[in-house]
Amino acid sequence: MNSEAVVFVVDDDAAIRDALSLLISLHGLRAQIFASAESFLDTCRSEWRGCVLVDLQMPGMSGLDLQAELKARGIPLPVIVLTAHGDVATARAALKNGAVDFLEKPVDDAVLIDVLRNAIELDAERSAAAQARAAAAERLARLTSRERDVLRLLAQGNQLREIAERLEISPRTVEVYKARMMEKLGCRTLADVVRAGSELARE
Amino acid sequence: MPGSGHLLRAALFITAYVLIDWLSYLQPVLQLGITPWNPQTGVALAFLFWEGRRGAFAVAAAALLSEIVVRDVPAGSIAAITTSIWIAIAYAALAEVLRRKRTSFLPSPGDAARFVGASLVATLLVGAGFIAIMLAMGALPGEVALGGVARYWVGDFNGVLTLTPLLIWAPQWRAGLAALRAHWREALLQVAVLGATIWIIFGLLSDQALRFFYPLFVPMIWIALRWGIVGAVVGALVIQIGLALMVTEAGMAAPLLDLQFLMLTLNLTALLLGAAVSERQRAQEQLRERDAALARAMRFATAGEMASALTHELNQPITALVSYLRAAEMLAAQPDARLPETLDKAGREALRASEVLRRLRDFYSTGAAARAPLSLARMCEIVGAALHERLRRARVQLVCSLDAGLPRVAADPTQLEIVLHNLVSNAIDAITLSADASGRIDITAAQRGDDVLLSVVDSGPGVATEIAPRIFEPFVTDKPGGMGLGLAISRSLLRAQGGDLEYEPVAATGGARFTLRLKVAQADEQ
Repeated sequence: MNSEAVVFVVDDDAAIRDALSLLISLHGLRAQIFASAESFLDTCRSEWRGCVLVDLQMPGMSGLDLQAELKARGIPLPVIVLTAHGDVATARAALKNGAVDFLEKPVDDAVLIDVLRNAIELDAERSAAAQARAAAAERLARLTSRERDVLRLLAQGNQLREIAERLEISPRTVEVYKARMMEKLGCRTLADVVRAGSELARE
Repeated sequence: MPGSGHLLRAALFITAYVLIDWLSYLQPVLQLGITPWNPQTGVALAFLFWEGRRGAFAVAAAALLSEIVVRDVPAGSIAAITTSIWIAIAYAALAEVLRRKRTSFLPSPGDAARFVGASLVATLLVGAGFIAIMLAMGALPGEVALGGVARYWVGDFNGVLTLTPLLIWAPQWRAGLAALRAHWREALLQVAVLGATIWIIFGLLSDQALRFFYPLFVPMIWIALRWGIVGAVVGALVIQIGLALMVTEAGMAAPLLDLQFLMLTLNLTALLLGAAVSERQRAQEQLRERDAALARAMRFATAGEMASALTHELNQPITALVSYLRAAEMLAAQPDARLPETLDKAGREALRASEVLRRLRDFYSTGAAARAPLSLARMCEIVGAALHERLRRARVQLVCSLDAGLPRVAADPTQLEIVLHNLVSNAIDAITLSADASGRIDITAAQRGDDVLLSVVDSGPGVATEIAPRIFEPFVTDKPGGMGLGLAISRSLLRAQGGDLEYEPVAATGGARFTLRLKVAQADEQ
């Protein structure tokens, strides 16, 4: 499990904060507590990894408010909402807004830890995917426009001779662009080139 | 086979009939023994009412036996047998008519009038038939026929009016006595006044009793107003018995027949007045029952809200408790020095949960309809605490500015709490709907003589003008999803305690002002 992942416990009830953070830490997860949604948002940073376990009913901002605010700020932390009422309407609203899960108090620790681990894993996957995308974009940015053309045409399945004809350059020059492009992207096989080409198409 | 029960009742009836006829055998005339008051007829009609048509045989037997024992068969045995059968048939028919309306026997003026009408016709027929039979037998000279019918009729009619309703109500006597015991002082005073009036009119002024009869109406009206139709009938019976006693014991010489016509007027007046009073009392009773049903409905509504709040309040400590215990389980396995501390925390959470339950028990054990002296400041505190969560979520400020010198009020604590809870809850809804950022609810109070006026003023949009005049009627509401019962119930709860609830718009802000009028607790209640 990701060592930097933290469960951010947001609850206005001191005893619940204390008990949940103790239980979570005993299960080998890191926990950090906040007494209100506002204090969490004040310190929250986009590079934080893990998930948010938030109480639905709190003075000031509710759990749903916090969830909406995180979404608005583009912070992708998964949110798990805790509630004392098994209120179907509220649960639906929370899940529609992208909450990972909805737990009813009092919550069984096995279920809680399971849900938290899933959320942390989801967050890690999301963040890894985002990182890979960022790296690929960065590498593509280093290509010249000719190298990009060659990459795109190669990824579409064209032969060197066809590319030379389309670009109105000699097949020899195409070879040179291809070699430079593959070196810049760190591609070793044609399959790597096709994959990089799909990244280009997405841009 | 009618069974032994019927035969026994028939035997008892015949004995009673003859005995009563003998006791009331006063001032007989026309050598036929026609008396001016015939209570035995009232007994016979009630007997027929209970026993049905089969009772007619016993009535015929009783009438015949009475002719023999009391009157010594003045017109011969054939006349005696014929008249007895005639009496039995006629009254059995009247009893049939009355039985058909058994469920609504006399509670309303309409029923009382129908009873009087049917009895009047039947007694007139019986009297006319009796005299006709006697004329046919040659037992009477023709010129006294009309007077005979009149005498016979007034005697029987008065007997029926004074005794039949009372006997038909026999199953409710026990309840009636219980009601009497609850107000025995007043009943005793009424009996004393009635007795004194009877003694003065029929005893001291017996030779002018006809002229001085009318003051009897005063105690009779008093009794009828207080006790309804039952009081009217019992009062009439007391006067009749008093009159009979004066005739037999004090040797009163007043013309009993003329007095019986006056008695008839008195009986009819009291009976119809009593029926009107009874009907009103019953209507008030139904109104109170409906109010009680509304109050129960409101209690349930409040209970639903309570249950929701309670779930939240209880789940908080239980969540912490469960988490601490799970943690303790893991700490015990390691082992870890944090274990005792964690278990201690778990214990404290369990106590916190029980505290929530204790508060709930206190809320419900405040007792029903007890008018205890109440501190309004305390009441506002309780309601504010109960609605704390909703006020906070709606960002509404509840401000109770109550003067420390305000006297305590006499009211049922649970009911007053329900009313206040409902008003503040409505105010929160109104403010939330208006989407006003600075919502505020003010509770103020002032003393006005024996009353305390408590106002709940909100900064919401007020009640829509088109429904404002009807806002206290059931099922009238301007709240989406509202039942429209809260204010209706609140007002009836307060009115039942001698208070009231009024609405007026606040001109300056457009908000709503609800004013509760409550009674100041008396010194001995403080």
